[in-house]
Amino acid sequence: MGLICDVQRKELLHIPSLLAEVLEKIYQYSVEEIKDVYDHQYDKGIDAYLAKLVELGVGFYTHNPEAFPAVELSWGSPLEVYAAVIEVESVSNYDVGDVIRQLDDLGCAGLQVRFLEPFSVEDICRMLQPAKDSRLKFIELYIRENGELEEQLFRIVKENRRVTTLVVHSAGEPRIVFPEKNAGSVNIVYTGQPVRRGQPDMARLENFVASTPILAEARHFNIALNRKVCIDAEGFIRNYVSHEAHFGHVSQASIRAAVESPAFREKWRLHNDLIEQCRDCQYRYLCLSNSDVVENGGKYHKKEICDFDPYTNTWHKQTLRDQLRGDAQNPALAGDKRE
Amino acid sequence: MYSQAPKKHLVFSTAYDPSTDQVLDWMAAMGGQFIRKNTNDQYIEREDTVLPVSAQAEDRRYASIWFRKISGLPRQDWLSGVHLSEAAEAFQANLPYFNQYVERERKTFYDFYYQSFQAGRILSPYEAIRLNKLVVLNLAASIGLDVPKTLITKRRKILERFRAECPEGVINKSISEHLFFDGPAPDIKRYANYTEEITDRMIRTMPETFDLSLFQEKLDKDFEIRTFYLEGRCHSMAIFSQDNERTSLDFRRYDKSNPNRLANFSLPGAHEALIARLMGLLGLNTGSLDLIQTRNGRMAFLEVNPAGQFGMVSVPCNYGLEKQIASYLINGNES
Repeated sequence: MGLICDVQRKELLHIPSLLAEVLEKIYQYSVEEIKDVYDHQYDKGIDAYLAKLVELGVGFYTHNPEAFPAVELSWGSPLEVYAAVIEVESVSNYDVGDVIRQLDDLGCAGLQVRFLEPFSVEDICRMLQPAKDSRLKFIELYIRENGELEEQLFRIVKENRRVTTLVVHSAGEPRIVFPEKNAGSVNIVYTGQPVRRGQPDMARLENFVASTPILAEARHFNIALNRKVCIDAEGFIRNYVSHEAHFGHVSQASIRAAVESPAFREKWRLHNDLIEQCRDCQYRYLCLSNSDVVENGGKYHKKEICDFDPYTNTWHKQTLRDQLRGDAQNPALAGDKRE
Repeated sequence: MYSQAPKKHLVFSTAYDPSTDQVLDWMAAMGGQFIRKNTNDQYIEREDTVLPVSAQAEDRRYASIWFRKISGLPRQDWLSGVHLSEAAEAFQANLPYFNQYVERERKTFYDFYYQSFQAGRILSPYEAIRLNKLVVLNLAASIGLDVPKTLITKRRKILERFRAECPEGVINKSISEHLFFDGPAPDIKRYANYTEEITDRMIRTMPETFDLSLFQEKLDKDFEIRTFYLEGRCHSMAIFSQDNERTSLDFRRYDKSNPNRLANFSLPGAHEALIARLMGLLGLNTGSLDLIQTRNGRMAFLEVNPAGQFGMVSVPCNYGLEKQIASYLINGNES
C-alpha cells in the first residue's frame, strides 16, 4: 500500500500502490501525460482519485506547476545529540548529574529519565539540579509510584521549568491530574503499566506522527536512533537501552567519545530504506521502532520482530483500539484520523 | 592602538522564542560565540548607560548583530499605587498623558541603546526596522510592484466613492501596527484588531466623519504568499486559505481543525528582483513579505514585516532558514 502523509492535519491517508506510483510522477508530468504513460488504461480511475484528493484538501490543480516545487527533503541538525534516555535504579552506580552535564555539553535537546524504582521527590529534584541552566529544552520524567502527594510531585515541575512530561508508572488506576491555576501546563499522568529495564518503544500506528522534518530525516537516518544516546540502569552507554552492544560505563567512558565512535554512529545511518522488509513498508519514513539493526550476509535486518507485515498489510498483535478503528485495513482513501 | 576585530555575535530576541534557539544552536555548531539579550527582560535597563558611549567600546562592538525581536516592556500605569500630594488630582486626571510621556522617555532611551552597537553585519539595521506602512506601500508602487488601491480618509462620502471603484469590496486595517490587548482575569481573552471587510451595510451606518482610517480594495484571492527575504534571496510559501471562511481575510486567524494548506512556492524572477530592490531601498537585508495571488492573475504586494516569523515558512517548506541565518551571522554568507 501507499501512504500520503498529511503533515498539517497529522493524518495518514492509505492509498493503493498504483496511485502512489501515479503521484510520484505528478511533479514531472501533466495529468494528460500521466494517462499517456499508462496507455489510457486507467483514465477514469486517475481522474476519480485526483478529484478525491482535491476534495480531501491534499491536492489542487494548477496550470502553473513550476511555481510549486516539491519539498526538498534534505536534513541536518546542529546538535551532536538530540535526545537521551537514561534509566535510574537504586543500584545504578553512576552520577545522573554528571550525565546531564555531559549531555548539556553535546547540546542535547531532550532528556527522558526513567526511574524504574521508587525515588523521593527530593532525590529526583537533586538529580535534576544540573539541568536548570543547561541547553536541555524538554525533560520527560517517568517516575515510579511512591505514594507521594500530587502537591509534592508538582514541586518537580515548579523547580524544573524544562520538565514537559510527568508520568507516574506502576500506579494502579490510570488518571490525569491537572495543575492548579498559574502552576504551569504540565499534567501528572498516572498509568498502571510499569516501565521496565530496556523497555522498547513499540512500532504502532498511533505512535506515528507525520511532519516534514521527520520525513526528511527518515530519508537519511534511522529516526528512532539518530542523535540518541542512552544510559541503562547499570550505567552502560548504548544506542538504545535494549541494545546488546555497549560503549563503556559512563563513570569511565565519556558520552562524547561513545557517540563519536563509528560503530555508535553506524546505527544512526541505517535507515529503513536500507533494511530488509522495512524498505517495502509504507510506514518506513514514520516508524519509531528503536530495534537494533543487525547485518547478515550484506543485508540489514531489524532484530526485533515487527508487529506489522507490509506484504500482507496486517498488524499481528492488534490492540483493541486499532481493531475498533480498523486503521490499516481501511479501504483506500478512508483516511485515519488521529488526535 | 586599535583593538582586535570583535569575535562575538549579539542577538536581540525574546525569551521562549524557539526560532532563536534553533539559530543559536547552529551558531554554536559553527563555533560561534554569542550573547543573547532578551528584550522582554528588564535587565537591559540595569545596564546603566554613561554618555558618551564610544562605538569602539569593547561591549558595543560585535562581529554581527541580529535584531530578531524587539519587544516592548509590559504596559504599566506608572502612577497607580504611588502616593501623590497636591498635584495628585492633576496627575490622576492626565494619567494616560503621563503614561505616554514615560513610554516616550523609555523609547528614546531604547532607540539610542539599540543603535549604540556596532557590527560588520547587521540583520537588519535598527534604524531600518521601524517602518512606516504607508512609506513602504508608496515605495513598492513606485518601483512597479502591484499594490492594492489604498485610501486614507475621515469621510464617509470619500469612502463611498472609493467603494464604487472596488468591485470586490473594501477592507479596513491599521495604518500603523495592529493592536493587541488582554481582557480582564480570569478568562484573559486576547483582543486584536484584525483586517476586516467593510460591507456596504457598514458603510451606510457609518457617521459622516470618523477618525483617520485606512481602506484598501478587497482582492479576489486565490492564495497568499509569504516570502522570507534574506540577503538577496526569496524563500516563499503559498498559503491556501480561501476555502476557510474564518481566515479568508486574515491568515493570522489560524484554524487548527482545518488548517490552511501550505505549499513550497517559487516567485517569478521579475518579482524576486522587485522585492530585492524594495528591500534595498528600505535598507533591510531581511524580512517577511506578504503578497496575494488573485484569481485574475494579479500578484499584489501587501506589506513587509522586518522581524517576521521565518519558522512558519522554514519548517513546512524544509528551507533550513535557521542554518542560513546562522551562517550569515557567522561567516557573512548563506550556507
